[in-house]
Amino acid sequence: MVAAASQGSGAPRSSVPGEQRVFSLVLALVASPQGATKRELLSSVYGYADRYQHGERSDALERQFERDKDQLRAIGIPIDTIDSPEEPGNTQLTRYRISKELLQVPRDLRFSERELTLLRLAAMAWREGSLTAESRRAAMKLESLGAGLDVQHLGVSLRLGIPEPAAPALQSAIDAGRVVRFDYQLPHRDAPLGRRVAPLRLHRADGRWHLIAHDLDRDDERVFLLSRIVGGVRTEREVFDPMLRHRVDGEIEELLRLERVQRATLEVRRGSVAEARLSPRAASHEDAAEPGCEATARLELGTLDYRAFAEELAAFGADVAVVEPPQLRSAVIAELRGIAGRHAVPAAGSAEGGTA
Amino acid sequence: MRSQLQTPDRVVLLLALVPYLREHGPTPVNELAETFDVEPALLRKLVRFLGTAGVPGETQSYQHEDLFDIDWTALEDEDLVSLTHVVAVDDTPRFSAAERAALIAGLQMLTGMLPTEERERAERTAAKLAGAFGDTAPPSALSVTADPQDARVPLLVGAIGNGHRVAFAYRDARGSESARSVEPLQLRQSSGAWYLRAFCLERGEERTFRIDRMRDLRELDEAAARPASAAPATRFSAGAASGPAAQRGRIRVRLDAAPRLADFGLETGPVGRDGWADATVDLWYPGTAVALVQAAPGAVEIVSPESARAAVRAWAEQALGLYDDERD
Repeated sequence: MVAAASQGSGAPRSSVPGEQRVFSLVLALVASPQGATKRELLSSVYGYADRYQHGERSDALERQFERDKDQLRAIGIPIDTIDSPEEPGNTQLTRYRISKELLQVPRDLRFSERELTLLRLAAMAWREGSLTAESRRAAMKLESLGAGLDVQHLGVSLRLGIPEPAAPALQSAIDAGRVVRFDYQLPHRDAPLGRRVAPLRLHRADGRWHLIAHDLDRDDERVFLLSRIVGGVRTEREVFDPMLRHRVDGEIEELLRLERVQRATLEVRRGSVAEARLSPRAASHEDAAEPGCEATARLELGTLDYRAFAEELAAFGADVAVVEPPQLRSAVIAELRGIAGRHAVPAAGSAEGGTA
Repeated sequence: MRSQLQTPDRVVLLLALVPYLREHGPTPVNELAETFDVEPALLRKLVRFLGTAGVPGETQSYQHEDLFDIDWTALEDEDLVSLTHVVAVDDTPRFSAAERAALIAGLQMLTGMLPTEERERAERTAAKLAGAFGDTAPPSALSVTADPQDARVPLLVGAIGNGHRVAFAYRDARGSESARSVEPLQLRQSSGAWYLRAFCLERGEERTFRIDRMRDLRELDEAAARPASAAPATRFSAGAASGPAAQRGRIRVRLDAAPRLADFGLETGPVGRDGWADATVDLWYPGTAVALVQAAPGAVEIVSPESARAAVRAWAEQALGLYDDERD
C-alpha cells in the first residue's frame, strides 16, 4: 500500500510503517473537535508530513489519505466530513474528524466476566474460514474491554467459519448495500444460471449457510445455498433500496416453516454415527416397526433442501436408508451411484496406463 | 501458526493496547503478546512506536505534552510495558458492523451447545451487544438458527466448565465397547463431528474420543486434576493415533470441497479448467479413503492405490444395497 504512493507525483516512498501513519491519523482526527482540512492533516500528521511539500499538491499523498480513510471505515471507525459553508463540495476545504463517542464503545456497554468469556468463545469460532480478520480484531477489542476467564481454559473450540468462498464478498456487499451478480448451480441443471440480486443476509439454518436476497430480475425474495454459488461474486456499483432489508426476518421465518413441513423419514443403524448426528434434529425417534429391523431406529425430521440433505445422507453410507419421500430416496441413490461410478475399475482419472 | 497482522489489525491492536494498559498497569511484553496473540517482537515494535505517537499541536508539529509516553527504562531493562501518558484515546474501540455480526452469530451458535444457564447468558449477551449501538448501526449481515445439538455436547461443556471428570461407555472404531473415566481436556468440532480430547484414567494417557460413540455419558463429582485447554496443540486428524505407516494416496478434489477436507492434510496441485485438482494425501487407515469421500461425497475421487478405490466402491455399493428394490 505504501509502495503505491511512490508512483506518480513526486512524493517519495515513506519509511513510516502503515499502522504508525494510520494510528497517528486517528489521533489527529480525534483531537480536533472542529475537524482538520486535508492540507492540515497531510502537512502535519506523522507518516504524511515527511513526504509533504509546502505549496505543492501531491496526488499520491491524497490517494494515500483516501485509502487510509477506507481502511478506517472498514475497521468500524467512522470519519465525519464537514463541508465548508463558503464552498460546499470543495474537497480541499472539507474538514475531517472522528467523534470520540463513535470511536469508542459506549460507556454504559460493559460485560461481566462470564459474558466476556462467552464473547471470546464466539470470536474464536471464526478463526478459520471467513471473518478471520474481523474475529481477530473483535478478540483484541474484547481483551481491552476487561478481565475475563481465558477461553483457552474453557477447553471448548467451536468452528463457525463459513467455508464457502462466496461468503466474504457477499458479506461486504450486504454491509455496503450493493447489488451483486453470481452464477448459481442448481443440482439438476447442466449449467449454472446467472443471478442479479440485492443481498440481504447470510443465515445459517439446517446446518447450512444461505443467502437471503431479493432477486432483482424476478422481483421477488429468493434463498440461495452458498455452496451452490460458483465462480465468484461480482459486486456492482449500484446500491439497492435499504427498505428491502425489512423483509429478511419474514424470509427467515418462512425458511424455518419450510424446514418444519418438508419432512423425511429415515432408518438409521442403532449406535451408528448417523444415529448420533441425525437424532438431535429428529422430531420423532422410534424403534423400527418391522420385525427383524431391531438393529435400526426410525427418525422423522425436517429439512430445507432435499438435494443438499441427500448429499449429507449419502456420506453416512449404509448406516442410513431413506424411507420417504421418494425424491429424497432417488437423490440419495443418485449420489451413491455417482460415487460408485467415479470409483469403478479402472481409475478414470488415472494417468498411468498399463498397470491398472 | 499466527497469521500475519495487516495494517488495519495493527491499528486496532494499538487502539486496544491503550485501554488495556490503563486498566492493567505495567505488563510484561510476553504477557501482552500472549493475550493479544501476536509475536513479542511485533508487540515490542508497536509499543516503542506508541511511546512516541501523539497529536500535532497548534503549531502543526508534535510537542512533548501532546505525545504518549511510556516508561522506557522499564521496557529496555525489564521488558515491561508501562504507559505513563495518554492522549486523545482512552477506551476500547467500538466493534465494526462485521465484527459485531460475527460475535452475535457466534453467540447464537453457542446457544445450542451450552448448559441451560450459560445458554440464557449467551442469549442475553447477544441482545446486549445488538442493542448497544441503537438505530445508527446497520442491520447485521449474518444470523444463525442454532443447530439442535447432541445432548452430550452441553453435558461435556458443563463438565469442563465445572472442572469435573466424566464417565461413559465407549465403542471404538473396531466396534468393541469399554467403560472409561476421563479428564476432559478439549472439546472440538471437525467436519460436523464432535471430538473430546481427554486424559483416559484407564489407559493412563491422552486419547481422542468421538462424542457420537459415547454411551451413558455422565459428569462425575471428582475434580479433574488436568486443566482443560482449547489450544490447538494436538491435531485431531485421522492420522493422530498411532498405527501402521501411512500409504500415500492420489486423489482428485473439486476446488470448492477443499475447506471440508482441511483436516486430512492434502497436498493439492494446480486447479484445472474443470475446477478439479490433483492432490496427494496420507491414507493412515483402510477407512481413510472412505472418510475423505464422506467429508465431500460428490467432490472427491480416490485415484490410487486401487485398494483404497475398491474400499470406496464397496462402501457405496453396500449403501446402494439398501435400495435394491429400486434397481433396474
